[in-house]
Amino acid sequence: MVAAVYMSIFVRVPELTLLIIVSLVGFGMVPLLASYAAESSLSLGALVGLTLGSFLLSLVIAIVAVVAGIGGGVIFTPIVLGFTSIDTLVVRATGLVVAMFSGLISAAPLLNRGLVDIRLVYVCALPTIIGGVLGAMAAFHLAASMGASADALVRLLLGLLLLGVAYVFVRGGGRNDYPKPQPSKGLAAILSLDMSYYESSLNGTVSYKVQRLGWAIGLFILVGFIGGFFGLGGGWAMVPVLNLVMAVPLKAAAASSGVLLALGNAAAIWPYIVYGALVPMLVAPWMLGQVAGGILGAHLLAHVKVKVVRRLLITMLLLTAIKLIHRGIDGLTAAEVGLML
Amino acid sequence: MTQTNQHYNSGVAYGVTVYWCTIVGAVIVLLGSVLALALGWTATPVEQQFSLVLQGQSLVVNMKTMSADGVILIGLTLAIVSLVPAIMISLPNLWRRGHRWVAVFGAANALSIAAATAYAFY
Repeated sequence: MVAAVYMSIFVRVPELTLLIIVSLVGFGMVPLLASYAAESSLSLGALVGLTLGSFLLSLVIAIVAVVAGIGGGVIFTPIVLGFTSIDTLVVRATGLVVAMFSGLISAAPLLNRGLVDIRLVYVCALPTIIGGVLGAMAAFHLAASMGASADALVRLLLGLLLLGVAYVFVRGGGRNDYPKPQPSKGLAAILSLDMSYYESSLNGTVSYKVQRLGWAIGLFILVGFIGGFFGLGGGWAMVPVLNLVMAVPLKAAAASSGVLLALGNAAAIWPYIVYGALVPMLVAPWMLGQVAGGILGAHLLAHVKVKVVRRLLITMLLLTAIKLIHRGIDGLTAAEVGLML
Repeated sequence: MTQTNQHYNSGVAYGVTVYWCTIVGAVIVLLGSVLALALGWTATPVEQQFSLVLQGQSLVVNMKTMSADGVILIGLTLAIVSLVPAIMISLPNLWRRGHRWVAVFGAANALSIAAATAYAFY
């Protein structure tokens, strides 16, 4: 059944098939073409392995991210910060690319299916962009003012934040799949953001009216700031804001969140590039994986049990949060001892 | 599926523009990666870049000189900046259908992304 679904996607979307084949062949050909210095610290096999491994891991993350509507950054950034020693600014810059590219590529299939309302995306993107740029600039300010202990502090804060995210997923899971439409008031009424989409599981049309838009705009500035600061993107918080605050049905909220994420992070990525935190060779396989996985995820959205994805995600978030808090406390303690000596 | 919402075409125009620009961007990024790995056409050798990054050291890659790193950055930029024309293409239909405030929000988004990109390159 799953194999048949995958096969039908590869047949219907030839550009996806082509992109995956060209990527695998391109990276696979490198050892044949390369003229490589023997005294190098990393072997060519290790380099190609790292690149291919990153591409495949990114592909899997993108599928999960699109189906859950959270963006890949919330999976990528904590795992890499928790389990490697890579500089936090480099990780956060790559995390933003991971967060936004699955959203960029999945926009077309989701908008074609009518799951996403472009008006809702445009209205919510502006506060997210403003918050994202402020968050990215704050990240560099903190790194410049605190030095080495900033890395440990970021790990600790991110660990605590992830605990909160896991709690949101546990509490919010499936409780508000189809909010009852209420008449819109205030800004939402002025913009008349009413929408309907065809829900295949109900074999009918679901209508909704956006609520509490003013509150949501304030929350999107905050979500953008946190996403830009930590390189998470912010998709994890967009679904609850859209669903629980704005009364957008869960499936439409998850789909809209991905598209919104791409738009909201498009400006926040530039401060990281300006300050030289983006390493192109590190980012490249992750970007390619997000593009291929984003297309797959958007086409799989209708077939996947979201409950299974959500449980996996909660487990992973909790484990990573514990690891990050542990490393953050260790780092801060070491910095304090260093200062005392 | 049946779709009767009048602003539907704006969404489709936005999505299709971003979709194909991102795929072209991905192909350019792939080309840059293969050039870097196979021909070593980078200011800092790739193996040295990975070694430094994996050791937790910061690394400033020179983007000004043309190299495989620059090619990758061009691919990334193309995909990100494609949002600006994608939004602009979708706006006339929104405006005509009476969603004028939404069109203003859309234009402000495009302007913000364009301004952030211009700031990064100058």
